[in-house]
Amino acid sequence: MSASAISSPSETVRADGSRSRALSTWLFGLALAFAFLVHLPSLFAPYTIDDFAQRDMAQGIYPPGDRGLFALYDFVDDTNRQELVDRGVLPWWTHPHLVVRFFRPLSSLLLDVEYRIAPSAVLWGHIENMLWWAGASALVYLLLARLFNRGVARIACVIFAASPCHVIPLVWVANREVFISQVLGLAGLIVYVRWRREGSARHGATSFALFALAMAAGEYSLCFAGYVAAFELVGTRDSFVRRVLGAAPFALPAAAYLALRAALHYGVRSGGLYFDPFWDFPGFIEGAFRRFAILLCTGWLGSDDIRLVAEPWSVIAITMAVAIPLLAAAIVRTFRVMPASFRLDAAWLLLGSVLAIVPVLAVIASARLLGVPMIGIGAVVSLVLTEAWFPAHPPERRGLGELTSLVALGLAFIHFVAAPYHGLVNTRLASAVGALMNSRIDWARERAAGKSEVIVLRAETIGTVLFTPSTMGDLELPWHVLSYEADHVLVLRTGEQSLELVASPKPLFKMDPSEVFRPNDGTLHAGDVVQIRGIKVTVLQLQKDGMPRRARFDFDRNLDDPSILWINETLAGFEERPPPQKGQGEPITP
Amino acid sequence: MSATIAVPRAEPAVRRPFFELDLLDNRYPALHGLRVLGIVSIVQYHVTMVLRNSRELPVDDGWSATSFDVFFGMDLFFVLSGFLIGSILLHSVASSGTANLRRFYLRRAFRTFPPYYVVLTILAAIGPLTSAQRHHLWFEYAYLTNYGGHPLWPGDLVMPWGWSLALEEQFYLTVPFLLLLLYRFRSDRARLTLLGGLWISALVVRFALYLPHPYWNEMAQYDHLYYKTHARFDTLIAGVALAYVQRRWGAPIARWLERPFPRALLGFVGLTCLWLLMQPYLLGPWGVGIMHVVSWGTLTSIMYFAWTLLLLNGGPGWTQRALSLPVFRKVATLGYGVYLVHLPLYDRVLSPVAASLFRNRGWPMVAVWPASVVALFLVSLGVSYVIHLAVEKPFLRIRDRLASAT
Repeated sequence: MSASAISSPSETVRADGSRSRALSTWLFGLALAFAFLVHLPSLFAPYTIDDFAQRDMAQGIYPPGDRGLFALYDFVDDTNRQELVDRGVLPWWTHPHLVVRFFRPLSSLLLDVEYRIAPSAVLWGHIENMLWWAGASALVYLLLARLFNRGVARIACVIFAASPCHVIPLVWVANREVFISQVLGLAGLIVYVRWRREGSARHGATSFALFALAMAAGEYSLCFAGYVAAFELVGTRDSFVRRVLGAAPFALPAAAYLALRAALHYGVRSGGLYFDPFWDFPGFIEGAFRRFAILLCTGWLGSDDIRLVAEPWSVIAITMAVAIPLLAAAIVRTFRVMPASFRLDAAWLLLGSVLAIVPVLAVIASARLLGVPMIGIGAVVSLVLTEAWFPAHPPERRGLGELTSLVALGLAFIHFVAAPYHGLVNTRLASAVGALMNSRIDWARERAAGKSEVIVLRAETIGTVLFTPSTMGDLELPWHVLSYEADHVLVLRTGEQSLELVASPKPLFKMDPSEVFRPNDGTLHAGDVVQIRGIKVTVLQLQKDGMPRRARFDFDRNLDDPSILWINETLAGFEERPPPQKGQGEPITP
Repeated sequence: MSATIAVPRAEPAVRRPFFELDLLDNRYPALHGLRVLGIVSIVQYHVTMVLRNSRELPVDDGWSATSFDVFFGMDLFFVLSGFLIGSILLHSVASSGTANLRRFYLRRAFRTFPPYYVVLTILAAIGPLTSAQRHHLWFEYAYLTNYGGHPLWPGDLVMPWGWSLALEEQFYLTVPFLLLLLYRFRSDRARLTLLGGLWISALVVRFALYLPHPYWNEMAQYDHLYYKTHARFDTLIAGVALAYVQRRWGAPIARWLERPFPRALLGFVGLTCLWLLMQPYLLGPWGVGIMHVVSWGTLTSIMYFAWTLLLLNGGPGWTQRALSLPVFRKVATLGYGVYLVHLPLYDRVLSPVAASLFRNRGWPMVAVWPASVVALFLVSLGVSYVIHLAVEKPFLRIRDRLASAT
């Protein structure tokens, strides 16, 4: 062996260190590639529901015409509701006071410009969403590398990037405001921490500007209040006054946003999907704890949010009763053994991840709402994994140490395998649903040529009920859905111009508190009459659970008019289904 | 073979008290707990199968699907058999340069044949047998159950669950020659390449069998891929490889596993395989066949390889301590007997009681199912203990006289 081949111990250590760093960098790159692959199918998703409506808004054809650059999330209000129902953009059972107006001027502006430049560039829309996602992931890395170290930041970044919380915002172009809020809010948070730690006015001003921009992107940015509040509560040892003043770069733009939102009458009212605390505080509080529990389980345990929403309370309670003590024990142990310099930051990120859920309790629980909470969840999970796997001192193999090792294993499995898998499945599912909807609409468009009206006896998918004239590309062609997600429906032709629908065992349409159209509390009763252009609907009978079972539809024209296209939506697709002859009945099935 | 290979000490053949349950070697006590988990998984699978298929009781669909997804207890026994037999033969080859075939086959025969033949003969005698069962009986006596009938077809075999015992016996016939071949290679790399090549070849065989017939239904997939030795030997090879790795690098692996991250890594690999095994629809409804091809041997091998390596060398963590509880050694000693008798016991004795509890006494299925699993497990243990005393022990004493352990 030559002398040059003999290396000193310190050289060996350095070589080992650089090898280890190189390996770690490679693994990080691979993990990010994995996260990208998980979300890749979203690039090929078609436009869906709101996307079509927003494209029409940008082109100035969505009623009531041109609404400006900043109003693409201004869907329904008192001025256009009836017109939207008359055209069939909204179904006939829409709440008579429904308002859906989101104050998202910056997100609206960016989308508007995009739709004006390239109204059909769906791939570009998804690529842009993907770039925002990449930006958010990079900022998570920057934030945590600054607070902890590169190792912790890398693991947390992968957990954040691969999380299923990004599925819907990636698949759904209209949901981009979530990413814009995340990116601007994260940038604001990074600078905010510097402002609070270093006290530089420049950082304070920059943080203010970034948070103000984030607020302009939409109400989702309010989630950052969780981190700012947590920072001031447990992340600093400043005096009370300094803490209150320190929060100003976030608090001022947030307060201004809320004031403007209230002054301009933005918000959601009279629908079951959203529970705007400023308009319906009891409604907001009523299901808030359940929504909070579901979001907590989804964020930390990678639970399937769609399944959990449908589960009874007992399942959620048992899940939490098992998981919370285990997680708490592992986190407590991690806090004990982590470097002292990490503790304050770990504490405010942990608390922030919990508080960040509060603003999104105004919406039905869904993984898509967890982007901002996942920043803290990813950080804390990463700290647990780092301290369990790469401890400064060998851990004891019993008690809390052993429990933490097992919990860390479970968390790693959840966040690196199970949750990304759910994300992949949901991405493919969402893309498939969008494609299915578009193919059905293509079928309808072809057959609707030359017709004066489309009547859907039974709808099966939300894309057939909501914004469908926009999807059809013909806002002038009335599109009326008579029932939705009903199972078997009996169609009775009671007159030249009237028919009745009787649904069993499911109702004609759901009136759950979680449905976007009714109640809150616009529950329909037997005898209620709804008048829309060309149709008078009378609710005749309710099921035992209060859902509508039977309704009569009186039209202002003969139903045998050949210019009407009659459709039944089955599980397999649309089919033409004219009503039966007068005095006869006909069952239709899914 | 390198002179540096550490030779595990075989437990000396000692005369044990007649009623004791200490048959199993106790060098790796955590494996006993693992065996018991394997037995439980098999028992619960068959309880669900009998309740749903034979008794036509309304076991919840989701529950049944999960119960059937936990099919891989059998593969644990294959891996552990491969490990046990591999360890014995590696020790024999290393110490004497020969596999000592006579002694090996005698010991295996006296260990496994008597209880099997007793149970098979009793079942054949109490009948009544269908013509197919009579026709296939000689296959069963010849340990060819997996080639001489269809284990899933009702009334085709007397002991359809004997397919796995047949598969193991067929493996025992060939494994000494594999070991001799292995030791014709000088380097560890060459030996591992041979073992790895053999292991992966089973997956290739399954793909080769399946791909021309992608529309095989589940029963056909079981018939052609699951029961046949030529498509399922990878779990046993994984066990032999594990024995080789353990023997050759046990000490350095134990040192490596003193650090938390490698332990977590092995646990993570096993957990991921377990999760994949529980996701037959991972590739969609049309990908179930492909998932079977990959799951039935490859994933189970990786999972058990990782976890067993961890249990053998990972030090005294909670899992090791829990699985090493002395009671597990006693229960695991009866495991072979439990496997032999649990299905006829449930099918003929306990499941009618379960059906009666559900239909006549109004017990909900949520109570009938776990009660069945517990009752079957306990009754099987009792019957197995009788077989152990009346059949196994006398033959093991003869075995020890004819072919002592060392």
